[in-house]
Amino acid sequence: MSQVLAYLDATIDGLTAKLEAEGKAPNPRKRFALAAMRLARRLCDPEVVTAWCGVATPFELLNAMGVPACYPEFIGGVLASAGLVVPTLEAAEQCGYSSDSCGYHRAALGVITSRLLPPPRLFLATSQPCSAGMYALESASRILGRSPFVLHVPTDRSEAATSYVTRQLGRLVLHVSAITGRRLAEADLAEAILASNRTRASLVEVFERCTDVPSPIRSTELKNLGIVLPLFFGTAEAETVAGAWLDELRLRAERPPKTGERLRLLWLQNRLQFKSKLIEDLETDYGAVIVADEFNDITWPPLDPENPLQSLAERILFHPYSGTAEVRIAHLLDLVRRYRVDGVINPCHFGCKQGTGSRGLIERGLRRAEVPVLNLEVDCIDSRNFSEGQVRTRLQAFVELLLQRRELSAEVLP
Amino acid sequence: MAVLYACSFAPLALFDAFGLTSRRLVPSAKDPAVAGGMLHDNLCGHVKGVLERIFSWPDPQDLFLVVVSCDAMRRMADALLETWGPARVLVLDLPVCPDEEGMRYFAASLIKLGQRLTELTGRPLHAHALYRSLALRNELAEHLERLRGQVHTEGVRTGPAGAMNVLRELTDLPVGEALERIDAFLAPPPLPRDPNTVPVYLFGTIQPDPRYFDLVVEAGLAVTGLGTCDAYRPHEVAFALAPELSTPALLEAYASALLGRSPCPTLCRCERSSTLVAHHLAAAHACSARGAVLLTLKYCDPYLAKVPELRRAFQEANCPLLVLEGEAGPNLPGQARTRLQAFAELLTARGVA
Ligand code: SF4
Ligand code: SF4
Repeated sequence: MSQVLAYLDATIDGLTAKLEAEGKAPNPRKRFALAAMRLARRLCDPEVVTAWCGVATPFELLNAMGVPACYPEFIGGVLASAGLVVPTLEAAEQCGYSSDSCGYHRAALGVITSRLLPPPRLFLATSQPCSAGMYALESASRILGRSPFVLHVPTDRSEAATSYVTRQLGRLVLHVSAITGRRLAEADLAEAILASNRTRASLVEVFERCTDVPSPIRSTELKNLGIVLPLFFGTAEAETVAGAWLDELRLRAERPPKTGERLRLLWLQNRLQFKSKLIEDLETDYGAVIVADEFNDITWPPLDPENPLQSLAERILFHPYSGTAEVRIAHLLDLVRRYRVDGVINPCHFGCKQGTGSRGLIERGLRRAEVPVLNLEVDCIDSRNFSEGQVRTRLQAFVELLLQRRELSAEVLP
Repeated sequence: MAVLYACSFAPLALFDAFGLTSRRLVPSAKDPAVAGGMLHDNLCGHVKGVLERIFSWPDPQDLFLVVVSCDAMRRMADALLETWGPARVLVLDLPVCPDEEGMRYFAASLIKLGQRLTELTGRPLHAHALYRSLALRNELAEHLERLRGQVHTEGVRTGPAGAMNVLRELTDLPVGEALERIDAFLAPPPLPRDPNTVPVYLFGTIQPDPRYFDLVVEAGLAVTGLGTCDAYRPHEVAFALAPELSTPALLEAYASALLGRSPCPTLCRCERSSTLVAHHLAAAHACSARGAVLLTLKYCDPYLAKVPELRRAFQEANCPLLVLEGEAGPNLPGQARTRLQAFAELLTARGVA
C-alpha cells in the first residue's frame, strides 16, 4: 500500500506543480493524468466510500451520489503503468485464480486478497463488456462478505431490453442508497446529466478533429481517454479534461504538429498499460501513427434530462460492445472510414473472451472490407508474459507491408 | 426441422408445443482447432466442441438456439450468426440474476421466442399445447427425483447403461419417449453400490470428452451424486400448473421455473438464488459423499472464478475436493488419471482412519 501511495502522491504533486507552472496552457494529457491519479488516491482512502464496478456502469449516477468509482481495468492499468501489477497478479494466482483469466480481473482480485487497497463498500458488476468481469467482481465481493449488485446487459436491443436495463438502473440507485445512506437528489442527477452532455459535446468535436490528415495527435496522446474518462462522467473533472483537449486541438489546428505521418493505424480495445517504447518507436522509425482508438468515439446521442435512466440504459445497450460481433465490426469499419486508416492492430489480450474471443470474426469482417489487420497476441498488463522483441518484429513486419501496399497503390493510382 | 441447443436453460417445452424436436448438441472433442480458428483458441472446450459439431451439421433446415449466458456463448452466437445467418439462429439472453427483474425479462424473451417460432414454422402457439408440453416436462422432472435416488444408492454406472448416458439420451428424445426411456431405466430395483468404492459427488461443466467421467469411475470412485451442467439441470424443475392459464401466464411460470433450476456458474448470486457453492456443498452432503470432484474446463471463466471459494468451502466442510481442468482434444492428459487415483487413495485412507 505504501508503495502505491508514494507513487500516487509523487505523481499528483509533480503534475500539480507542472500545471501551475505552465499557467493557462490547455495541457490536456497532464489534466487527464491528474484526474486519474486523484481518483486512484481517493480509492486508497479508507475513509471514503468507494465502488468497484463493471465498465458498463453509468458513472453519472455514482458521481451524482458522491461515490468515487472505478473498474478492474482502471486498477490493473494504474498498477501496470506504475510497474506494481505483478505482485497483485501473483497474489490472485496463489489464491487459486486461474492464470488463464484476464489479467485486469486477476489484478483486481489480487488487490483484494492481498489487501493492497482499502476494500470498496460497493461492488456493482455488469455483464458487459464481459461476463468474466462480473464473475471476478462477484468473487471479490464474496471474499469480503458483501453482496454485489449485478447489472445484466442483454445482447438484445429491443424496447423490452431497454426497460429491463432502465429498471435495473433504478434498482442500482436504491442499492447504492441502501449501502451508503445517500439519496440520489433529483437536482444532482439533473446536473450530472447536463455535465455529461457537455463533456460529450466537447468529445464529439475532439474526435472529429482527430480524423484530420495528418493526425493532430501522436500515437500515445489519447491512450486510455475513451476508457477512463467515463469514470468522471457527470463531473467538472470530465468537462475540464474534454475541454482541455478541445482547446489543445483548436490550437493545433492553427499550428499543426509535425508527426511525419506515413501510415494511419487504428488500435482496438486496450493499449499496453505497462511502460514500453514500442508504439513511439513505430511512429519515429516508420511514421506509423495510431490515429484512432476503438474506444475513443461517441456512440450515443445526448442524454435526455427528462428521462435520465432510460437514456443511460440506451447508451449501455447501444454500445458497440453490447450487441453482436457484427455490430462491433460495423463500428470498426465506420472508424476505418472516418479516420482513413491504413491498417488495424488488434491486441488480443490474453484471457479476454470478449475482444480476443472475437479475433477470427473481426479479422474476417475487416478483411472482407479489404482492411489489413494484425492480430497481436499480448497481455496488456502482465509484463511477465511480454516478449518485446517478438512483438516489435511483428509490428515492424506489418507496418512494412502496409507501406509497400501504399507505394503499390500510389503507383497504380494516377 | 429440429432445434439444436447447447445449454441447460433451453426452453424445451416451448419447442415441444410447436411439435419441434429438440436436440442437445454434445460437444465434439476431435479437433478444437476448427473453432479456435473461427474465433480464438482461448474459448472453453464446450463451445469449441459444439461449434465443431455445428460446422459439419448435415441438415440445413435445423435451427440453433444459443442461450447467451457467458462470454463464450456470446461468441458462439456470433460465430453462428456469421455462418448460418439470423434466419436459423435463435438467441435467448439468460438473465444473470434470477431475481424479479430477471424473471420478468426472461418471460418476455420466451414470449418473443414463441413469436419467432411461429414465424419460422407457420404454426401458432396454443395455450393448450403449451400446457400439455409443460405438464409432460413436469412429469419428467419428477422422474428425475427417482433417478437421483437410484444414483445415490448404486453410484453411476459408466457405458451405455449408465445414468449419465441416459440423462444425455433424454435431451435427444421427444418428451414422450424420454418418459418411456426413464421409466424403463428405473424399472429394475437399484443394485447396491460396490463396497470397495468410495462415494463422491461429481460436479462441474459439461465435458467434451466423456472419458474424464470414465476415469473417475476407473479410479474406484462411485459417483453417488451428480451436479454437472449436463446432468439433471436440463430437465429440472417441476412446478405448479393450472390448465386455465393463458399462454403468457404459462410462459411466465415456465420462465420462473427455468431460472429456479439448480445454480449454474453463469448466474450471479442474488437474493432469490441459492449460491452455487452452498448448493454443491449441500448436494455433496446429501449423497453421502466422502469427497468431491469438480470437472471444470480450461478457459471456463464462470467456474474458474469460483474455484477459490469452492476450495475454501469444501475444506471448511472437511470434504476433500479435487479440481480437474479438462481440455478438449484427442489426447486425455495422463495427469488426470494419476490425480484421480491419488485422490481415491486419499479418500480410502481417510475412510479407514
Ligand atoms: S480485456 Fe476482455 S476480459 Fe479483460 S476486462 Fe476487458 S473485455 Fe473483459
Ligand atoms: S459456462 Fe463455462 S463451459 Fe459453459 S459455455 Fe460458458 S465458459 Fe463454456
